[in-house]
Formats: sequence, C-alpha cells, structure tokens
Amino acid sequence: MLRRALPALRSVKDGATDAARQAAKGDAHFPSLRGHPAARVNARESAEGQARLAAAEEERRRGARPEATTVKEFQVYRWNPDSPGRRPFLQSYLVDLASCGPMVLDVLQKIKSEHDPTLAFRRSCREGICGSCSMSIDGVNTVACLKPVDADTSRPSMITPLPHMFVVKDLVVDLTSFYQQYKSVEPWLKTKEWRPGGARCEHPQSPAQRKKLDGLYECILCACCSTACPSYWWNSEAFLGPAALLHAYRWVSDSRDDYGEERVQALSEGWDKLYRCRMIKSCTATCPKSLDPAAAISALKALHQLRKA
Amino acid sequence: MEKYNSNTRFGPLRDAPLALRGALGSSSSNLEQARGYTSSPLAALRPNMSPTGSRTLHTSRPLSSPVANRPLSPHLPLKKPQFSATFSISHRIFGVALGVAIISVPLATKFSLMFGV
Repeated sequence: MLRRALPALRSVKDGATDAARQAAKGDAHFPSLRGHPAARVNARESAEGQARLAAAEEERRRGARPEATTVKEFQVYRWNPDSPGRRPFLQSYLVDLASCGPMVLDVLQKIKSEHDPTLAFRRSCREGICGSCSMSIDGVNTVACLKPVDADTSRPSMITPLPHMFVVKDLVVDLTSFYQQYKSVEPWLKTKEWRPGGARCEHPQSPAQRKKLDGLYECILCACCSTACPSYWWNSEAFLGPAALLHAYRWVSDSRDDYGEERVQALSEGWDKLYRCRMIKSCTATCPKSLDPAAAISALKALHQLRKA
Repeated sequence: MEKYNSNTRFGPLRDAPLALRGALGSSSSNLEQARGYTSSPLAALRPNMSPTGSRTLHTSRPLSSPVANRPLSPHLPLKKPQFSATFSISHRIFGVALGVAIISVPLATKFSLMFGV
C-alpha cells in the first residue's frame, strides 16, 4: 500500500529531467533510445560534433577558411605517486579530432598511445556498462566512453578525476570507501521463509512487480552520482551516498526480498546514513544512465517516515 | 644491487625516499601488511587488515592506514553550475538571510535604545 503512494520512478526518469526536455525535440531521431534521455542527448551531440568536424575539415581543404582546425586542446589532470613532491597539475594535449574516435575515451586512448604512455585512467567496456571510466569532463561527472567530445575546438576541454576523492594516479581515484558503502547496504536477495525446493528454486515475480525495478537496477556503480553530491563531499564517511542508497531502494522495492523493513530500519539508524541527503539533486543531473537516485532517496525517507507514524 | 636480490617484493622500497614510504604507511607493520596482501589473497582474511571490510578493492596499495600524501581531486571550483545545485544552495542562503532578518526585528526592538531605532 505504501509503495503505491510513492512516486513512480519510471515517470520521473522519463519526463522530468532537463535532458528529457531537451531530447523531446529529437524524439524522432533515436527511437531506440526511448527512456534514456542522457543517451539521446549524447547521441545527438555526437552526431552534430562529427558533422561540425567534417565541415571544418572540408573548409580547410578547399582553402575557404584556413584557420578552421580539427585540433583541440585537452587539459588533463596529472599526478604521479612516484614523484610525490610535485603538486597535481593540468597537462595540455593537442589532439587531432579528425583522426580520433567520437568519444572522450577515444581521445584519452589516443593520448595514451600516441602522446604520453604514462597517462593512467581506468577503462574496460567502452560502451557504458562497466562504469570504469567515470571522470569529471568539463565539470560534469560522466563515463568517458558515453560522453561525446565537444567539437568546439576554440576552447579547451578539461578532464579531471572524480571530484573530492583521493587520487591514486592521474585520473584513477580510490573507490574503496565507495564500495564498502555499497557493501554495507547488503545488496543481495534475503528471504525469510524456507521455500520448497531449497536454495535452487525460483522466486517468481509478476511483470508489475518487475516493473518497479526499472530505473533502479540499471545502476552500474560508476560513482558519478556520489562524487557529484556536495553532501557526500563533506560527509563521505557518514553519508552513504546516492549510489548506495539507490541500490538499497532497489532491494527494498524488490518483491522477492523479505527484509524491506529491516533494510529501511538499518538505513535510518544514525541520522547520517540517509538524512544527510539534502535533495541537491546533483546525482540526478549527472547520472550517465539517466537514473534518478534523488527520487529513490526521497522514497526511502518517505518509507521511513510513514513507518514511524 | 643486493637490495634487489632480497626475497621481499618490497625490498627496493625500503630504501625509497621518505615520502614514497609514507605512501605505503610509515610503520614497518604496514609494510608487512602490504607484503602479505600482495603475496597471498588469504592475507585479506587477517583480522588486523582493515577495520571496515575484508579486502581492498580497486586500489594499487593497501589502505590499512590513511595515506598521507594522496591529493584530493578538485571539486567545488570545477563543478559546472547546474540548476538543481544552484537552487539548493540559494534556497539555503535565502533561508539564512530571512532568519537573520526575522530575528533582528525583536532584537532591534529590545535593544532599541542602544541602536536608536
């Protein structure tokens, strides 16, 4: 009954974000990306950027505008633990976008292979499903593999590691406490009663129950939302952060899980874990998978308050 | 040359500059932990490894002690201004200003002789 009163995450995810409003115009262009406003914005930016680059190259070749260039400056955060006396600094790389892939991760790989092999960054799947290459690009946390390069070559792009985290090297940050916080919400299925068939039996779920997990299960733990949250910056030990709380809500709203009340109870023990969230909503604004951790946290708060009353 | 022939994996680091040794933890017990972690995964099960969890994840070096010389990555000055965050902080700023304005009315009345209001 409570769950019916809570905001439907699906509608928030589809309709309310800035990205969704921007992408509403381009609905016809990327029909396969329905329900993924951030992906749609990225796809449109990528297409426009490539067209712009092609135009610049064509103009330079014809001699119409000799100053048109495809070389763009990238300022990358560098810090090496092996020379700790040196302060962190921004190093500039000039990358020719015409001979480079469309995404920021392609630029980084080009820098690493052709300019500077000492650059360190995490990457794995290059399609936004592993969450390794999360970093702050021009002040917004995204996964570099899904973020198209800003094709405006007149101004430099700045690539820094995830904000307010301890740097291991260059763009690699220490995510140990982030993963410990994820672990602390016990992100696995817990059941109370013993079912016939033992541990190997299925846990049936209706389509309507499954639908509640949409907008929650897609999280890839890239840590973009947690490190975009000012509340998490100042209280990263006490506050669990949007990513861990989104996963907590994913298990609370799972029909197969029997420990929903206990999970909410555990989260609300000690005011800091849940209520440090001040609804700044930077998490929702930055999520590369266009999920809505802020709505999940407010739903958790509502569950807790309604249970108390 | 003999320091490289010693059987410990972190042998060369014993003679490393002081700041680098700080990255591994200053005491020798931490150095032992570091060696234990890299030599066998069973070392992660040792109770004195870390107070919070079983195993360090995604780190090149064990974090049983806080690492002194790791820099904090840049945060507030780099953040791109977004509507949500701007509204949130301005809401708080205006709230504080309103509170100050409201509380100043009875205070000014009480101390009106002093302020000459």
